[in-house]
Amino acid sequence: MTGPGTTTTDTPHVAEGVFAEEDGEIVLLGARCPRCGALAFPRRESCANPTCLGDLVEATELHGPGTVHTFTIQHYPPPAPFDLVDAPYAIVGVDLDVPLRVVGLFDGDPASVRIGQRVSLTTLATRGDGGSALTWAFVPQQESTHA
Amino acid sequence: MRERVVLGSAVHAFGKFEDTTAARMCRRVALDALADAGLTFRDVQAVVVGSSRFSGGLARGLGATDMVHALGMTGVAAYNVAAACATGGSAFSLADLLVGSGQYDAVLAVAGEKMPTGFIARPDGAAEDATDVDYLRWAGAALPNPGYWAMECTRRMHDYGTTEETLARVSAKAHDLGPHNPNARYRKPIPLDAVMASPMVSSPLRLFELCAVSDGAAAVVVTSSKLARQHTTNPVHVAGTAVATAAFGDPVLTMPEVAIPLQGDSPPSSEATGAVLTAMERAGVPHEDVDLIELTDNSVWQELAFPEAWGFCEPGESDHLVQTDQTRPDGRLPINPSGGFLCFGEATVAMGLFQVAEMHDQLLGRAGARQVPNARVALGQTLGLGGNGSAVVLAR
Repeated sequence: MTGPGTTTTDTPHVAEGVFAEEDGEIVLLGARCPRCGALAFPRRESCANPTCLGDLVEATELHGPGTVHTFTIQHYPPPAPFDLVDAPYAIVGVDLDVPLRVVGLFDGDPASVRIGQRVSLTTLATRGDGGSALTWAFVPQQESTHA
Repeated sequence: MRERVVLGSAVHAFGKFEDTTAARMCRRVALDALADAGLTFRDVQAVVVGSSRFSGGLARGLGATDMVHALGMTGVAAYNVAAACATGGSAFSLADLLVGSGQYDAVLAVAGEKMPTGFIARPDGAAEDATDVDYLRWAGAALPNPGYWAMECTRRMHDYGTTEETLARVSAKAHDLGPHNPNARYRKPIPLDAVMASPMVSSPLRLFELCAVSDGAAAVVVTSSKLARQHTTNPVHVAGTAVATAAFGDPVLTMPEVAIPLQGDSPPSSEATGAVLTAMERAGVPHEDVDLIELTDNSVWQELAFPEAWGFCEPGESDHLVQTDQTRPDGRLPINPSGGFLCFGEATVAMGLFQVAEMHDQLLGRAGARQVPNARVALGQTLGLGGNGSAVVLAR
Protein backbone atom coordinates (compact mmCIF):
# COMPACT_ATOMS: atom_id res chain seq x y z
CA MET A 1 0.00 0.00 0.00
CA THR A 2 1.41 3.37 -0.95
CA GLY A 3 2.17 5.06 2.33
CA PRO A 4 -0.11 7.50 4.02
CA GLY A 5 1.18 10.85 5.04
CA THR A 6 4.04 10.95 2.54
CA THR A 7 2.60 13.94 0.79
CA THR A 8 2.72 17.70 0.87
CA THR A 9 -0.15 20.14 0.89
CA ASP A 10 0.51 20.46 -2.83
CA THR A 11 -0.41 16.84 -3.54
CA PRO A 12 -3.45 16.99 -5.79
CA HIS A 13 -6.69 15.34 -4.73
CA VAL A 14 -7.92 12.46 -6.85
CA ALA A 15 -10.68 14.84 -7.92
CA GLU A 16 -11.67 18.32 -6.85
CA GLY A 17 -14.57 18.78 -4.50
CA VAL A 18 -14.51 15.30 -3.00
CA PHE A 19 -12.94 15.81 0.42
CA ALA A 20 -11.28 18.52 2.48
CA GLU A 21 -9.29 19.05 5.63
CA GLU A 22 -11.12 21.09 8.28
CA ASP A 23 -9.37 21.86 11.60
CA GLY A 24 -7.09 18.86 11.20
CA GLU A 25 -9.96 16.50 10.36
CA ILE A 26 -10.73 14.97 6.99
CA VAL A 27 -14.31 15.46 5.86
CA LEU A 28 -16.09 14.20 2.77
CA LEU A 29 -17.84 16.83 0.68
CA GLY A 30 -21.37 15.64 0.15
CA ALA A 31 -24.87 16.94 -0.23
CA ARG A 32 -27.94 17.08 1.96
CA CYS A 33 -31.52 17.77 0.94
CA PRO A 34 -33.00 20.35 3.29
CA ARG A 35 -36.51 19.05 2.66
CA CYS A 36 -36.11 15.32 3.36
CA GLY A 37 -32.63 15.09 4.83
CA ALA A 38 -31.33 12.65 2.21
CA LEU A 39 -27.55 12.53 2.13
CA ALA A 40 -25.35 11.90 -0.89
CA PHE A 41 -21.67 11.50 -1.70
CA PRO A 42 -20.23 12.82 -3.91
CA ARG A 43 -22.22 16.03 -4.26
CA ARG A 44 -25.29 16.02 -6.46
CA GLU A 45 -27.49 18.83 -7.67
CA SER A 46 -31.00 17.63 -6.91
CA CYS A 47 -32.68 15.25 -4.52
CA ALA A 48 -32.97 11.64 -5.68
CA ASN A 49 -35.52 10.70 -3.05
CA PRO A 50 -38.72 9.92 -5.00
CA THR A 51 -40.92 11.09 -2.13
CA CYS A 52 -39.15 14.46 -2.24
CA LEU A 53 -37.58 15.26 -5.67
CA GLY A 54 -36.35 18.51 -4.18
CA ASP A 55 -34.66 20.98 -6.46
CA LEU A 56 -32.44 22.52 -3.80
CA VAL A 57 -29.65 20.41 -2.36
CA GLU A 58 -27.12 21.92 0.05
CA ALA A 59 -23.43 21.18 0.24
CA THR A 60 -22.63 19.42 3.47
CA GLU A 61 -19.57 18.03 5.23
CA LEU A 62 -19.65 14.39 6.15
CA HIS A 63 -17.60 13.50 9.22
CA GLY A 64 -16.15 10.29 10.56
CA PRO A 65 -15.89 8.15 12.52
CA GLY A 66 -18.04 5.36 11.20
CA THR A 67 -18.58 1.64 11.64
CA VAL A 68 -17.36 -0.98 9.18
CA HIS A 69 -20.46 -2.65 7.68
CA THR A 70 -18.56 -4.84 5.25
CA PHE A 71 -15.27 -5.14 3.42
CA THR A 72 -13.36 -7.03 0.77
CA ILE A 73 -9.65 -7.74 0.38
CA GLN A 74 -8.49 -7.26 -3.18
CA HIS A 75 -5.71 -9.64 -4.16
CA TYR A 76 -5.00 -8.13 -7.55
CA PRO A 77 -4.31 -4.51 -8.43
CA PRO A 78 -6.89 -2.78 -10.60
CA PRO A 79 -6.25 -2.59 -14.35
CA ALA A 80 -4.24 0.25 -15.83
CA PRO A 81 -4.62 3.17 -15.71
CA PHE A 82 -6.10 2.56 -12.25
CA ASP A 83 -3.34 0.32 -10.85
CA LEU A 84 -2.82 2.98 -8.21
CA VAL A 85 -2.39 0.83 -5.10
CA ASP A 86 -0.48 -2.35 -4.35
CA ALA A 87 -2.31 -5.59 -3.67
CA PRO A 88 -3.39 -6.97 -1.32
CA TYR A 89 -5.47 -4.08 -0.09
CA ALA A 90 -8.84 -3.77 1.62
CA ILE A 91 -11.88 -1.74 0.68
CA VAL A 92 -14.40 -1.03 3.43
CA GLY A 93 -18.05 -0.06 3.36
CA VAL A 94 -18.52 2.24 6.32
CA ASP A 95 -21.73 3.42 7.95
CA LEU A 96 -21.10 6.97 9.06
CA ASP A 97 -22.88 8.17 12.19
CA VAL A 98 -25.34 9.87 9.82
CA PRO A 99 -27.50 7.78 7.43
CA LEU A 100 -24.91 7.23 4.71
CA ARG A 101 -22.72 4.24 3.82
CA VAL A 102 -19.49 5.13 2.06
CA VAL A 103 -16.86 2.89 0.50
CA GLY A 104 -13.18 3.68 0.51
CA LEU A 105 -9.72 2.24 0.82
CA PHE A 106 -8.67 0.89 4.20
CA ASP A 107 -5.47 2.40 5.54
CA GLY A 108 -3.85 -0.49 7.33
CA ASP A 109 -3.20 -4.22 7.25
CA PRO A 110 -6.02 -5.75 5.20
CA ALA A 111 -6.05 -8.77 7.51
CA SER A 112 -7.00 -6.54 10.43
CA VAL A 113 -10.34 -5.31 9.07
CA ARG A 114 -13.40 -6.37 11.06
CA ILE A 115 -17.11 -5.77 10.63
CA GLY A 116 -18.15 -3.48 13.46
CA GLN A 117 -14.74 -1.81 13.70
CA ARG A 118 -14.78 1.95 14.27
CA VAL A 119 -12.85 3.84 11.62
CA SER A 120 -11.98 7.47 11.07
CA LEU A 121 -11.63 9.38 7.82
CA THR A 122 -8.11 9.95 6.58
CA THR A 123 -6.33 10.51 3.32
CA LEU A 124 -4.17 8.11 1.39
CA ALA A 125 -1.65 8.76 -1.35
CA THR A 126 -2.15 6.68 -4.47
CA ARG A 127 0.05 6.54 -7.54
CA GLY A 128 -0.98 8.68 -10.44
CA ASP A 129 0.35 10.07 -13.69
CA GLY A 130 3.45 12.03 -12.71
CA GLY A 131 3.13 11.56 -8.96
CA SER A 132 0.84 10.89 -6.05
CA ALA A 133 -2.80 11.79 -5.73
CA LEU A 134 -4.68 11.97 -2.44
CA THR A 135 -7.91 10.09 -1.94
CA TRP A 136 -10.19 9.59 1.03
CA ALA A 137 -9.72 6.46 3.11
CA PHE A 138 -10.61 4.90 6.43
CA VAL A 139 -8.25 4.08 9.30
CA PRO A 140 -8.92 2.28 12.61
CA GLN A 141 -10.02 4.93 15.02
CA GLN A 142 -7.40 4.51 17.68
CA GLU A 143 -4.57 4.76 15.17
CA SER A 144 -5.79 7.96 13.55
CA THR A 145 -3.21 10.69 13.51
CA HIS A 146 -5.98 13.22 12.90
CA ALA A 147 -7.71 14.70 15.96
CA MET B 1 -50.60 -5.61 -25.89
CA ARG B 2 -51.33 -8.32 -28.41
CA GLU B 3 -49.77 -11.77 -27.99
CA ARG B 4 -46.07 -12.19 -28.81
CA VAL B 5 -43.98 -15.28 -29.47
CA VAL B 6 -40.27 -16.06 -29.40
CA LEU B 7 -40.16 -17.78 -32.77
CA GLY B 8 -36.40 -18.23 -33.12
CA SER B 9 -33.21 -17.86 -31.13
CA ALA B 10 -29.52 -18.57 -31.44
CA VAL B 11 -26.35 -18.21 -29.41
CA HIS B 12 -22.88 -17.79 -30.87
CA ALA B 13 -20.13 -19.82 -29.22
CA PHE B 14 -18.58 -17.76 -26.40
CA GLY B 15 -14.82 -17.56 -26.04
CA LYS B 16 -11.82 -15.53 -27.15
CA PHE B 17 -11.73 -15.29 -30.92
CA GLU B 18 -8.82 -13.60 -32.60
CA ASP B 19 -10.26 -13.81 -36.08
CA THR B 20 -13.73 -12.41 -35.77
CA THR B 21 -15.53 -9.14 -35.17
CA ALA B 22 -18.65 -8.23 -33.25
CA ALA B 23 -20.42 -7.58 -36.56
CA ARG B 24 -19.46 -10.99 -37.93
CA MET B 25 -20.60 -12.80 -34.77
CA CYS B 26 -23.87 -10.86 -34.79
CA ARG B 27 -24.54 -11.57 -38.45
CA ARG B 28 -23.95 -15.28 -37.89
CA VAL B 29 -26.18 -15.49 -34.85
CA ALA B 30 -28.91 -13.32 -36.41
CA LEU B 31 -29.05 -15.60 -39.47
CA ASP B 32 -29.17 -18.64 -37.18
CA ALA B 33 -32.04 -17.15 -35.15
CA LEU B 34 -33.93 -16.32 -38.34
CA ALA B 35 -33.39 -19.86 -39.66
CA ASP B 36 -34.63 -21.19 -36.33
CA ALA B 37 -37.77 -19.09 -36.83
CA GLY B 38 -38.21 -20.21 -40.43
CA LEU B 39 -37.83 -16.61 -41.61
CA THR B 40 -35.35 -14.59 -43.63
CA PHE B 41 -34.09 -11.05 -43.05
CA ARG B 42 -36.60 -9.84 -45.63
CA ASP B 43 -39.34 -10.78 -43.14
CA VAL B 44 -37.85 -8.62 -40.40
CA GLN B 45 -39.64 -5.32 -39.92
CA ALA B 46 -37.46 -3.88 -37.17
CA VAL B 47 -34.05 -4.63 -35.74
CA VAL B 48 -33.12 -3.85 -32.14
CA VAL B 49 -29.37 -3.92 -31.56
CA GLY B 50 -27.55 -3.92 -28.24
CA SER B 51 -24.86 -1.25 -28.41
CA SER B 52 -21.79 -1.44 -26.25
CA ARG B 53 -19.43 0.98 -24.59
CA PHE B 54 -16.70 -1.59 -24.44
CA SER B 55 -16.13 -3.03 -27.88
CA GLY B 56 -12.49 -2.64 -28.76
CA GLY B 57 -12.11 0.03 -26.10
CA LEU B 58 -14.13 2.46 -28.18
CA ALA B 59 -16.80 4.62 -26.64
CA ARG B 60 -19.03 3.46 -29.43
CA GLY B 61 -19.74 -0.16 -30.10
CA LEU B 62 -21.67 -2.02 -32.72
CA GLY B 63 -24.66 0.03 -33.79
CA ALA B 64 -28.00 -0.82 -35.31
CA THR B 65 -27.14 0.46 -38.76
CA ASP B 66 -23.94 -1.63 -38.71
CA MET B 67 -26.20 -4.66 -38.34
CA VAL B 68 -28.53 -3.59 -41.11
CA HIS B 69 -25.51 -3.10 -43.33
CA ALA B 70 -24.34 -6.62 -42.46
CA LEU B 71 -27.70 -8.31 -42.88
CA GLY B 72 -29.31 -6.54 -45.81
CA MET B 73 -30.21 -2.96 -46.58
CA THR B 74 -33.96 -3.40 -46.66
CA GLY B 75 -34.60 0.04 -45.18
CA VAL B 76 -35.80 -1.72 -42.04
CA ALA B 77 -36.49 0.20 -38.80
CA ALA B 78 -33.46 0.01 -36.53
CA TYR B 79 -33.12 0.84 -32.83
CA ASN B 80 -30.04 1.09 -30.61
CA VAL B 81 -30.27 0.08 -26.97
CA ALA B 82 -27.57 0.66 -24.36
CA ALA B 83 -27.87 -0.44 -20.73
CA ALA B 84 -24.44 -1.87 -19.93
CA CYS B 85 -24.79 -5.53 -18.93
CA ALA B 86 -28.58 -5.22 -19.08
CA THR B 87 -28.47 -4.25 -22.76
CA GLY B 88 -29.59 -7.60 -24.15
CA GLY B 89 -32.55 -7.77 -21.80
CA SER B 90 -33.50 -4.21 -22.56
CA ALA B 91 -33.22 -4.93 -26.29
CA PHE B 92 -35.53 -7.91 -25.87
CA SER B 93 -38.01 -5.84 -23.91
CA LEU B 94 -38.06 -3.24 -26.69
CA ALA B 95 -38.53 -5.92 -29.36
CA ASP B 96 -41.41 -7.29 -27.30
CA LEU B 97 -43.03 -3.87 -27.10
CA LEU B 98 -42.58 -3.23 -30.83
CA VAL B 99 -44.48 -6.39 -31.69
CA GLY B 100 -46.97 -6.01 -28.87
CA SER B 101 -47.86 -2.52 -30.04
CA GLY B 102 -49.08 -3.95 -33.30
CA GLN B 103 -46.76 -1.83 -35.41
CA TYR B 104 -44.39 -4.67 -36.32
CA ASP B 105 -45.08 -8.36 -36.84
CA ALA B 106 -41.49 -9.63 -36.78
CA VAL B 107 -38.61 -8.03 -34.90
CA LEU B 108 -35.01 -9.21 -34.62
CA ALA B 109 -33.08 -8.45 -31.42
CA VAL B 110 -29.34 -9.03 -31.64
CA ALA B 111 -26.29 -8.12 -29.57
CA GLY B 112 -22.67 -9.18 -29.37
CA GLU B 113 -19.25 -7.90 -28.57
CA LYS B 114 -15.57 -8.59 -28.27
CA MET B 115 -14.37 -7.93 -24.76
CA PRO B 116 -10.94 -6.90 -23.47
CA THR B 117 -9.40 -9.30 -20.92
CA GLY B 118 -9.47 -8.98 -17.16
CA PHE B 119 -11.41 -6.52 -15.02
CA ILE B 120 -13.82 -4.44 -17.10
CA ALA B 121 -12.30 -0.94 -17.09
CA ARG B 122 -13.45 2.44 -18.32
CA PRO B 123 -13.62 3.47 -21.96
CA ASP B 124 -11.08 6.07 -23.05
CA GLY B 125 -12.18 9.67 -23.09
CA ALA B 126 -14.60 9.47 -20.17
CA ALA B 127 -14.68 12.39 -17.69
CA GLU B 128 -12.26 12.24 -14.75
CA ASP B 129 -13.84 14.32 -12.02
CA ALA B 130 -16.25 14.19 -9.13
CA THR B 131 -19.27 14.35 -11.42
CA ASP B 132 -18.43 10.87 -12.69
CA VAL B 133 -18.84 8.45 -9.84
CA ASP B 134 -17.44 5.66 -12.01
CA TYR B 135 -14.16 7.57 -12.13
CA LEU B 136 -14.22 8.05 -8.36
CA ARG B 137 -14.72 4.37 -7.58
CA TRP B 138 -11.69 3.51 -9.71
CA ALA B 139 -9.34 6.41 -8.92
CA GLY B 140 -10.51 7.06 -5.36
CA ALA B 141 -11.36 3.61 -4.06
CA ALA B 142 -9.62 1.16 -6.45
CA LEU B 143 -12.92 -0.70 -6.59
CA PRO B 144 -13.45 -3.10 -9.52
CA ASN B 145 -16.85 -4.67 -10.24
CA PRO B 146 -16.13 -7.91 -8.33
CA GLY B 147 -15.40 -5.78 -5.27
CA TYR B 148 -19.06 -4.77 -5.10
CA TRP B 149 -20.30 -8.36 -5.12
CA ALA B 150 -17.54 -9.37 -2.74
CA MET B 151 -18.56 -6.77 -0.16
CA GLU B 152 -22.17 -7.97 -0.28
CA CYS B 153 -20.95 -11.55 0.04
CA THR B 154 -18.75 -10.73 3.05
CA ARG B 155 -21.78 -9.23 4.77
CA ARG B 156 -23.90 -12.24 3.78
CA MET B 157 -21.44 -14.56 5.47
CA HIS B 158 -21.64 -12.36 8.58
CA ASP B 159 -25.44 -12.22 8.57
CA TYR B 160 -26.34 -15.77 7.52
CA GLY B 161 -23.23 -17.81 8.13
CA THR B 162 -22.82 -18.63 4.44
CA THR B 163 -19.72 -20.81 4.14
CA GLU B 164 -16.90 -20.81 1.64
CA GLU B 165 -18.03 -24.29 0.67
CA THR B 166 -21.51 -23.08 -0.28
CA LEU B 167 -20.01 -20.36 -2.45
CA ALA B 168 -17.84 -22.95 -4.17
CA ARG B 169 -20.75 -25.33 -4.59
CA VAL B 170 -22.59 -22.76 -6.75
CA SER B 171 -19.63 -22.70 -9.12
CA ALA B 172 -19.17 -26.47 -9.19
CA LYS B 173 -22.85 -26.85 -10.09
CA ALA B 174 -22.50 -24.38 -12.94
CA HIS B 175 -19.45 -26.15 -14.31
CA ASP B 176 -21.20 -29.51 -14.20
CA LEU B 177 -23.48 -28.02 -16.88
CA GLY B 178 -20.69 -26.67 -19.08
CA PRO B 179 -20.09 -30.01 -20.83
CA HIS B 180 -23.78 -30.02 -21.84
CA ASN B 181 -23.81 -26.63 -23.52
CA PRO B 182 -21.96 -26.61 -26.84
CA ASN B 183 -21.82 -22.80 -26.89
CA ALA B 184 -20.22 -22.48 -23.47
CA ARG B 185 -16.62 -21.31 -23.24
CA TYR B 186 -15.82 -23.50 -20.25
CA ARG B 187 -17.00 -27.02 -20.90
CA LYS B 188 -15.13 -29.04 -18.27
CA PRO B 189 -16.43 -29.84 -14.80
CA ILE B 190 -14.60 -28.07 -11.99
CA PRO B 191 -14.93 -30.06 -8.77
CA LEU B 192 -15.64 -28.40 -5.45
CA ASP B 193 -12.11 -28.68 -4.09
CA ALA B 194 -10.67 -27.12 -7.25
CA VAL B 195 -13.03 -24.15 -6.88
CA MET B 196 -11.99 -23.74 -3.26
CA ALA B 197 -8.33 -23.96 -4.22
CA SER B 198 -8.61 -21.31 -6.94
CA PRO B 199 -6.90 -17.99 -6.14
CA MET B 200 -8.76 -15.47 -4.02
CA VAL B 201 -9.56 -12.40 -6.14
CA SER B 202 -11.90 -10.16 -4.12
CA SER B 203 -12.49 -11.81 -0.77
CA PRO B 204 -14.49 -13.96 -0.27
CA LEU B 205 -14.82 -14.54 -4.04
CA ARG B 206 -12.29 -16.79 -5.73
CA LEU B 207 -11.33 -16.94 -9.39
CA PHE B 208 -13.74 -19.76 -10.26
CA GLU B 209 -16.52 -17.99 -8.37
CA LEU B 210 -16.34 -15.01 -10.71
CA CYS B 211 -17.27 -14.98 -14.37
CA ALA B 212 -14.71 -14.19 -17.02
CA VAL B 213 -15.28 -11.83 -19.92
CA SER B 214 -15.79 -13.38 -23.35
CA ASP B 215 -16.51 -12.58 -26.93
CA GLY B 216 -20.03 -13.69 -27.77
CA ALA B 217 -23.35 -12.87 -29.33
CA ALA B 218 -26.99 -13.90 -29.26
CA ALA B 219 -30.12 -13.16 -31.24
CA VAL B 220 -33.83 -13.65 -30.82
CA VAL B 221 -36.77 -13.25 -33.23
CA VAL B 222 -40.02 -12.01 -31.70
CA THR B 223 -43.19 -12.18 -33.75
CA SER B 224 -46.89 -11.75 -33.41
CA SER B 225 -48.78 -14.82 -32.34
CA LYS B 226 -50.60 -14.78 -35.68
CA LEU B 227 -47.38 -14.88 -37.70
CA ALA B 228 -45.93 -17.54 -35.41
CA ARG B 229 -48.87 -19.87 -36.08
CA GLN B 230 -47.72 -20.11 -39.71
CA HIS B 231 -44.40 -21.55 -38.53
CA THR B 232 -44.96 -23.51 -35.33
CA THR B 233 -47.58 -25.52 -33.50
CA ASN B 234 -45.70 -25.13 -30.21
CA PRO B 235 -45.28 -21.41 -29.64
CA VAL B 236 -43.25 -20.07 -26.72
CA HIS B 237 -45.05 -16.94 -25.58
CA VAL B 238 -43.58 -13.80 -24.14
CA ALA B 239 -45.64 -13.63 -20.98
CA GLY B 240 -44.08 -10.42 -19.69
CA THR B 241 -41.02 -8.22 -19.90
CA ALA B 242 -39.81 -5.32 -17.78
CA VAL B 243 -36.98 -2.84 -17.54
CA ALA B 244 -36.13 -1.06 -14.29
CA THR B 245 -33.53 1.18 -12.71
CA ALA B 246 -32.01 1.34 -9.23
CA ALA B 247 -34.31 2.89 -6.65
CA PHE B 248 -33.47 5.31 -3.84
CA GLY B 249 -32.80 3.54 -0.59
CA ASP B 250 -31.52 0.31 -2.10
CA PRO B 251 -29.53 -1.36 0.72
CA VAL B 252 -27.16 -2.84 -1.86
CA LEU B 253 -24.47 -0.50 -3.15
CA THR B 254 -25.37 -0.01 -6.81
CA MET B 255 -22.41 -0.22 -9.20
CA PRO B 256 -20.60 2.16 -9.65
CA GLU B 257 -21.67 4.30 -6.68
CA VAL B 258 -19.32 5.04 -3.76
CA ALA B 259 -22.05 5.81 -1.24
CA ILE B 260 -25.70 5.02 -0.55
CA PRO B 261 -28.16 6.78 1.73
CA LEU B 262 -29.39 4.61 4.57
CA GLN B 263 -32.97 5.77 4.32
CA GLY B 264 -35.86 5.12 2.02
CA ASP B 265 -37.48 1.80 1.45
CA SER B 266 -36.38 -0.15 -1.58
CA PRO B 267 -35.81 -3.86 -2.16
CA PRO B 268 -32.20 -5.00 -2.49
CA SER B 269 -30.65 -4.90 -5.97
CA SER B 270 -33.68 -2.89 -6.99
CA GLU B 271 -32.67 -2.51 -10.64
CA ALA B 272 -33.01 -6.28 -10.96
CA THR B 273 -35.65 -6.96 -8.31
CA GLY B 274 -37.95 -4.26 -9.63
CA ALA B 275 -37.72 -5.64 -13.16
CA VAL B 276 -38.27 -9.25 -12.04
CA LEU B 277 -41.32 -8.49 -9.92
CA THR B 278 -42.84 -6.29 -12.63
CA ALA B 279 -42.26 -8.90 -15.34
CA MET B 280 -43.83 -11.60 -13.18
CA GLU B 281 -46.79 -9.36 -12.43
CA ARG B 282 -47.28 -8.59 -16.12
CA ALA B 283 -47.06 -12.30 -16.85
CA GLY B 284 -49.55 -13.10 -14.09
CA VAL B 285 -47.11 -15.76 -12.87
CA PRO B 286 -46.78 -16.60 -9.17
CA HIS B 287 -43.40 -17.72 -7.82
CA GLU B 288 -44.38 -21.37 -7.55
CA ASP B 289 -45.11 -21.55 -11.28
CA VAL B 290 -41.58 -20.58 -12.33
CA ASP B 291 -39.77 -23.71 -13.52
CA LEU B 292 -36.32 -22.21 -14.08
CA ILE B 293 -34.42 -18.96 -13.67
CA GLU B 294 -31.58 -17.57 -15.77
CA LEU B 295 -29.92 -14.86 -13.67
CA THR B 296 -26.74 -12.81 -13.77
CA ASP B 297 -24.18 -15.05 -12.07
CA ASN B 298 -21.35 -12.57 -12.51
CA SER B 299 -20.33 -14.17 -9.22
CA VAL B 300 -21.73 -16.91 -7.01
CA TRP B 301 -23.10 -14.24 -4.66
CA GLN B 302 -25.87 -13.22 -7.07
CA GLU B 303 -27.09 -16.79 -7.34
CA LEU B 304 -27.51 -16.92 -3.56
CA ALA B 305 -28.86 -13.42 -2.97
CA PHE B 306 -31.19 -12.81 -5.90
CA PRO B 307 -33.71 -15.67 -5.45
CA GLU B 308 -34.15 -14.47 -1.86
CA ALA B 309 -34.52 -10.83 -2.91
CA TRP B 310 -37.18 -11.85 -5.44
CA GLY B 311 -39.19 -13.95 -2.99
CA PHE B 312 -38.37 -17.42 -4.30
CA CYS B 313 -37.12 -18.45 -0.88
CA GLU B 314 -36.57 -16.96 2.55
CA PRO B 315 -33.55 -14.80 3.37
CA GLY B 316 -30.64 -17.14 3.96
CA GLU B 317 -32.45 -20.14 2.47
CA SER B 318 -30.53 -20.16 -0.82
CA ASP B 319 -27.61 -21.81 0.95
CA HIS B 320 -29.78 -24.81 1.78
CA LEU B 321 -31.12 -25.01 -1.79
CA VAL B 322 -27.57 -25.09 -3.12
CA GLN B 323 -26.34 -27.59 -0.55
CA THR B 324 -29.21 -29.98 -1.35
CA ASP B 325 -28.77 -29.68 -5.14
CA GLN B 326 -32.15 -27.99 -5.58
CA THR B 327 -30.78 -25.47 -8.10
CA ARG B 328 -29.70 -28.15 -10.58
CA PRO B 329 -31.94 -28.78 -13.62
CA ASP B 330 -33.70 -31.64 -11.82
CA GLY B 331 -34.10 -29.73 -8.54
CA ARG B 332 -36.89 -27.71 -6.96
CA LEU B 333 -35.64 -24.35 -8.28
CA PRO B 334 -33.35 -24.77 -11.30
CA ILE B 335 -31.02 -21.80 -11.65
CA ASN B 336 -28.93 -21.17 -14.75
CA PRO B 337 -29.38 -24.53 -16.46
CA SER B 338 -27.44 -22.94 -19.33
CA GLY B 339 -24.29 -23.06 -17.22
CA GLY B 340 -24.62 -19.31 -16.68
CA PHE B 341 -22.05 -16.59 -16.92
CA LEU B 342 -19.66 -18.85 -15.02
CA CYS B 343 -19.51 -21.24 -17.99
CA PHE B 344 -19.84 -18.63 -20.71
CA GLY B 345 -18.02 -15.56 -19.50
CA GLU B 346 -19.75 -12.28 -20.08
CA ALA B 347 -20.14 -10.53 -23.42
CA THR B 348 -21.97 -7.73 -21.68
CA VAL B 349 -24.55 -6.66 -24.23
CA ALA B 350 -25.45 -10.18 -25.32
CA MET B 351 -26.35 -11.75 -22.00
CA GLY B 352 -30.04 -10.91 -21.86
CA LEU B 353 -30.54 -12.43 -25.31
CA PHE B 354 -28.37 -15.44 -24.43
CA GLN B 355 -30.70 -16.05 -21.49
CA VAL B 356 -33.84 -15.79 -23.68
CA ALA B 357 -32.30 -18.29 -26.09
CA GLU B 358 -31.71 -20.76 -23.25
CA MET B 359 -35.22 -20.23 -21.92
CA HIS B 360 -36.55 -20.79 -25.46
CA ASP B 361 -34.59 -24.06 -25.72
CA GLN B 362 -35.84 -25.16 -22.31
CA LEU B 363 -39.50 -24.49 -23.07
CA LEU B 364 -39.20 -26.25 -26.44
CA GLY B 365 -37.68 -29.27 -24.73
CA ARG B 366 -34.50 -29.06 -26.79
CA ALA B 367 -32.01 -28.36 -24.00
CA GLY B 368 -30.55 -31.88 -24.09
CA ALA B 369 -28.80 -32.94 -20.91
CA ARG B 370 -29.49 -29.49 -19.41
CA GLN B 371 -33.25 -29.97 -19.78
CA VAL B 372 -35.43 -28.96 -16.87
CA PRO B 373 -38.21 -31.57 -16.89
CA ASN B 374 -41.63 -30.25 -18.02
CA ALA B 375 -40.43 -26.67 -18.21
CA ARG B 376 -43.41 -24.42 -18.92
CA VAL B 377 -42.47 -21.06 -17.36
CA ALA B 378 -39.01 -19.48 -17.39
CA LEU B 379 -37.70 -16.27 -15.83
CA GLY B 380 -34.65 -14.36 -17.06
CA GLN B 381 -32.96 -11.34 -15.46
CA THR B 382 -30.07 -9.02 -16.26
CA LEU B 383 -28.38 -6.21 -14.33
CA GLY B 384 -26.04 -3.54 -15.69
CA LEU B 385 -23.63 -0.95 -14.33
CA GLY B 386 -25.31 2.31 -13.51
CA GLY B 387 -28.47 0.78 -12.09
CA ASN B 388 -29.86 -0.96 -15.20
CA GLY B 389 -32.03 -4.04 -14.97
CA SER B 390 -34.36 -6.12 -17.07
CA ALA B 391 -36.43 -9.26 -16.78
CA VAL B 392 -38.46 -11.54 -19.02
CA VAL B 393 -40.97 -14.33 -18.44
CA LEU B 394 -41.53 -16.85 -21.22
CA ALA B 395 -44.30 -19.43 -21.04
CA ARG B 396 -45.93 -22.13 -23.07
